[in-house]
Amino acid sequence: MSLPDRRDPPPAAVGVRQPLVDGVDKVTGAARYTADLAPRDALVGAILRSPVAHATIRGIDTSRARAMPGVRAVVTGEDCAVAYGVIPIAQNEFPLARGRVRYRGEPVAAVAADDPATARAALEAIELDLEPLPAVFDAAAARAEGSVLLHDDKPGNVERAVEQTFGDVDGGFASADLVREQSFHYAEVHQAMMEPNAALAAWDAERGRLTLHSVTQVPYYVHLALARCLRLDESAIRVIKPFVGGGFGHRTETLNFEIVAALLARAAGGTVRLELTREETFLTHRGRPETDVRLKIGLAKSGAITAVEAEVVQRGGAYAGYGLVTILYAGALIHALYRVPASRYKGFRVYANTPPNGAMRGHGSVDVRHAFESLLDAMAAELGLDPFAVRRANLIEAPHRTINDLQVNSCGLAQCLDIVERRSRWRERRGRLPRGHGLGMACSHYVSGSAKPVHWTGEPHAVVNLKLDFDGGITVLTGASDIGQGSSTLLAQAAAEVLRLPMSRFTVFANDSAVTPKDNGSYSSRVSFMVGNAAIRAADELKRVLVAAAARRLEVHPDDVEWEGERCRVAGTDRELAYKEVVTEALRDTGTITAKGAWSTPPETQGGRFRGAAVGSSAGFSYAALVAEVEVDEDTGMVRVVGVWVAHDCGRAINPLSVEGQVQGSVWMGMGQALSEETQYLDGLHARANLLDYRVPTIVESPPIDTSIVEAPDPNGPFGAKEAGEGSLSAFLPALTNAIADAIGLRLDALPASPDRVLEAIVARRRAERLRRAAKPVPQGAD
Amino acid sequence: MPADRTDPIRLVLNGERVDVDGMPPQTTLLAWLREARHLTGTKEGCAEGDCGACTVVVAESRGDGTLAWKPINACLRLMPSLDGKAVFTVESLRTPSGRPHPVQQALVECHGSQCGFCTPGFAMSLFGLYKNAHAPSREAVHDALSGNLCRCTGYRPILAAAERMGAIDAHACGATGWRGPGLAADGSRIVSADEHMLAAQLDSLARDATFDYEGGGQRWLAPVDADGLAAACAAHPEACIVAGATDVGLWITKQHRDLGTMIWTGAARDLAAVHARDDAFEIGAAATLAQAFDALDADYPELHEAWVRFASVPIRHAGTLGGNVANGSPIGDSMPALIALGALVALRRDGATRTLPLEDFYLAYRDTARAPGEFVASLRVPRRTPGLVLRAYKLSRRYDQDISAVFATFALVLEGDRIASARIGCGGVAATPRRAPAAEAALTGARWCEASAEAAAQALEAGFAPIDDVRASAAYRRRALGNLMRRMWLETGAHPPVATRVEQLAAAG
Repeated sequence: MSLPDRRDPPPAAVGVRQPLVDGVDKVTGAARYTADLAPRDALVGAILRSPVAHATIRGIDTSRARAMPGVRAVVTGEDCAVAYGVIPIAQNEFPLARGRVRYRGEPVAAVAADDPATARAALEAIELDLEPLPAVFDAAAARAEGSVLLHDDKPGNVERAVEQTFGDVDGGFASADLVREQSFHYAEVHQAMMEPNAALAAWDAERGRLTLHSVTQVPYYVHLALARCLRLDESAIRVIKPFVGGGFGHRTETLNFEIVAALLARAAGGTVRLELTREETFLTHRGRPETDVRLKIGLAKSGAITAVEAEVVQRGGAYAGYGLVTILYAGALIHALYRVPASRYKGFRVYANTPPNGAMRGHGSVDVRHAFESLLDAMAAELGLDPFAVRRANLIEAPHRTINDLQVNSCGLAQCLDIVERRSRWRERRGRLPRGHGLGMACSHYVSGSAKPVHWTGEPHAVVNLKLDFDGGITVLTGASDIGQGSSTLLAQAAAEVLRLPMSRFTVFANDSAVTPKDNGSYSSRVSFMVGNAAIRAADELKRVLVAAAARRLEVHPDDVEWEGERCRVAGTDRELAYKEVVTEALRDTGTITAKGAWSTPPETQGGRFRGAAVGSSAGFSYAALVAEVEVDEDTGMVRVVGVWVAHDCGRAINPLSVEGQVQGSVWMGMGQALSEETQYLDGLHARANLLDYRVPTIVESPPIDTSIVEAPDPNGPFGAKEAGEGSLSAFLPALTNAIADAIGLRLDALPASPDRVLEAIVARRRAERLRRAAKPVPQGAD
Repeated sequence: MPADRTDPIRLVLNGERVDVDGMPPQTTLLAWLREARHLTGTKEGCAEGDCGACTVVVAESRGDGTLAWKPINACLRLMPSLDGKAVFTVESLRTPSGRPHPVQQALVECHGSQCGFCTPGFAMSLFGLYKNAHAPSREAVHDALSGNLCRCTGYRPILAAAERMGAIDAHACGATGWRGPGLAADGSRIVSADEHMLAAQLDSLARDATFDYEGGGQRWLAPVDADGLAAACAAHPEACIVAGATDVGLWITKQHRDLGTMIWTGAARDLAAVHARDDAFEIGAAATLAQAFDALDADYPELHEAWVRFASVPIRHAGTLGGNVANGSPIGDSMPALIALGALVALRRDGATRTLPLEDFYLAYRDTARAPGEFVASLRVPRRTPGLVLRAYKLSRRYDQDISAVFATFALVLEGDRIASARIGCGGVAATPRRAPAAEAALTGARWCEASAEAAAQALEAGFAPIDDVRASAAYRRRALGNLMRRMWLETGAHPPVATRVEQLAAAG
């Protein structure tokens, strides 16, 4: 990219459809991911996994493996007695099982060897002495009286029970014109990000230092967990996140293989590459839990919500992970999409002998949102209200504080509704499509970062450093993890906008704990909002320094300097300086400049004072409305999505190209969950741990997604921006089943809507109709 | 075995002639590229041909001075099978001036690459399309990319890139020579001078005797004709016969099996062709799925959709119909269709060839009538009979790239409104691909009407005891199989015919 003529007007960076700054590296194969980095002499790590779902470990005999030539290290649970877990109050997982295995595929031992064949042979030489225990594979069995306990301190296998009531719920239902209650079931889903898990751990025996490259979304959390589990000082560890092939929440917590790689590297005194297979990546799991929802809604004739009651049960797998946060999100985000005057929520997070669940895209909100939008749709029909009308009857007007103390400072949902109604030609087409064709709609929302961080250290939520040197180039130093969502590009745009300099002046350097500021990581859609704000502040600071330098050189007061990036001038005159002259002046005496920006969420957005109030609180909420059009084949149960219209309120589209990409990607991921994706365990054995049986949609069944951006600027957001990468996901699922209902009159209460489930439901309905007709003879003359 | 008996594998990698020796013949191209050549742009996403992250393009000489450009999955491709071929990876696309190739530029511009991990595979599938189509249709793009999974984009930006790439000035960005487009607007092939040179180079590498390669205690025999194949199979009855390796590849990457001696069918030139004879298509065991499907389309256009959905383009370029049939999976999609068409399988041992109806080839789950030392030499598919009414239905949760829950093919020969003969091939409903005798009996001799379709549907529902598995429930399979018969009536017999397929409805609406 060449620098613009200095007489050009200063470029705008925000609002520009900016291809990713690292896009060329990705398309040419130059981008290096973790598995691409291993030096030639790296040892090969491999993990031995539990062949059973639940057992006491009586012993692990590694002597034969240790004696094999070419085996450099063998580690077991004996080598790490420190439990880890992303939530400080719920750490109950070991990188290698100790005492007990709790799911099939749980790591029990690991080896580092000269080559893959030796590593595999060494795993086979390890003898496990396991005493089987009874196992539970679903929440109901886990909670049943007398069930085996996975963790002795959790009676009934309930990791966390939540009970929250806000407002006058009973009064709300009593005053309603229509009250309905329904139960729903959701299969477990997995992120299936394209890059399998991998870590590269190097132990520097001389200095006692560890360097880890990993596929993580949260290098800082990995750093903390490594220090804990290896009992190392945090300063003895360096964590680097290279290019990462997606995450979608799979990698928002430290994962066992990252610690195992480090344990192996230290034990072997060298460098270990630990690359998991696709199957092992599935077994590491951390997806959305199998969920049961019982939901009750009260509506007035106008469509206004009077009260909501929900009970949610999540099968969380064998360990805590993010579990308590997920079950709290499920309740918290019932609010803040519509006005809800009263609500009661009961949530149960349950342990079972399956791989642990995690914080998958749309964390906690997706399944409950499906239940809510489905039931709301059905009730609207009963009241004779159009699906759009019932949503409009419940719109939030910002600023608004929900009954559970979430602070909504901007809401563009009304515009979103108008746009998708118009663009889908809803009014002209709804109710006029042939049988088998249907239109359905739904709304959704999401947080722009959790307003309270997981580790409450008192530090700001986000810090960005800008380094300016002799060459005039500015390096954005950030800990924000770009995993494909485009955060590196966005941060450069934010800084470029403030400094009014072309993008070509900026280089983003991210995610090396030895160099870049700490960042909590890429999750809960926090990066654009929080790190974006920090980047603006850093750029403001750098601009202040540069303007001061220019003023010095021009011998005027800084207030008299008009800053236009590539040049600046004394206001009202033609006296001007080129950018490079300003840089030279600014560096005189001081040398290289580092400007810092930091940002934290305002206290009023950090939630209420009740237990669990932090979860769901956010400095900004995104909003989305979505229409889906389907065709349903009643002979085979096949559902095809013909088209999708979505409008997403992201406050301000800093990079519209990226916003559209994120919105389409989330809608599409919602489609996968709605139509075809699910995990399945047979006696705890993962039966779909590959990309053939775990069916993510291909290009062929992926419909056009008409994407509109709505900008209801948020007062706290960077340039008004809010999140764009999660909020529209959960609208897809209910829009799909609402469209199926429109097409064939059948409301599905279980997902995914796979052909067998759909055909099953069609057949069940026919059977019920036949029974009804048989029981009630049709009177003469009736149609 | 003395070392002088082992020739190296001779191939061209990204334009450079390379000899490979010493490595076990079951080494995959992906492992070699990444570990030995440090070409890490080609990614491993699944190691079983499901995701396409490892897609590379192989160029083969057509023997007329031109090249055939075929995207393939590097994770399933065994190294010695690349002897005499040219391999292009994503690293080679960038033009000599350092600029991205039009397919790469289009991906960046259209935001078709987000996390970037699937991107090299998409770039290479797009490059394959760039060489094989001018201004490809939406359908052609879908077909070319259905074997590449992406988890970030929802595919629309990639589709946009596919539609954009042809509009980017190839000359201006230095994408000339073999990097340039393969077809002109009028459909004529563009063959650059360096493609001619490469074709000549590959011709010079062609072998006239069995390629006998050893490495790591394993052996690879690639006879150049059917006689050589017969001799190799007779001499090594214990050997693993490898065709496209789209399943055998998984024995290596997933089960870590040591295959010992392998005999490859793919070099046998006289088995690589499909001959359209007067009475039958003679499909050689080494003909790829792509070749076979192209030929069958001429007589049986009703099967085209099933073939497209059968497998992705890279798999169709690698897999063979002979291998698919010989492998005998109960869920392979080709067998039910071929059984309904009355296909015969020719088995050869030494000089003797015997021929069986395909349905008699399958004895039990993964067990066939093939004797040790015997190999599937060819398939004979009868030419179309007048009066044939044919339908093939594939039911799967995902439209493409999926194993069928049910695959059914109905072939009725009508004389007036009477059904003179009926052949039904069913997959996914039993341990082997099967005919459906009761349903066929219900149809044969009957009038083609709703009642006989209903009788056949009920016979189909009663005639199989499928299993519950991750693909579908037994009840679904039974019910859907019957419904497909009813559907065939609606589509072909009812007056007027009823549009029943979602795609037709979409086209009409």
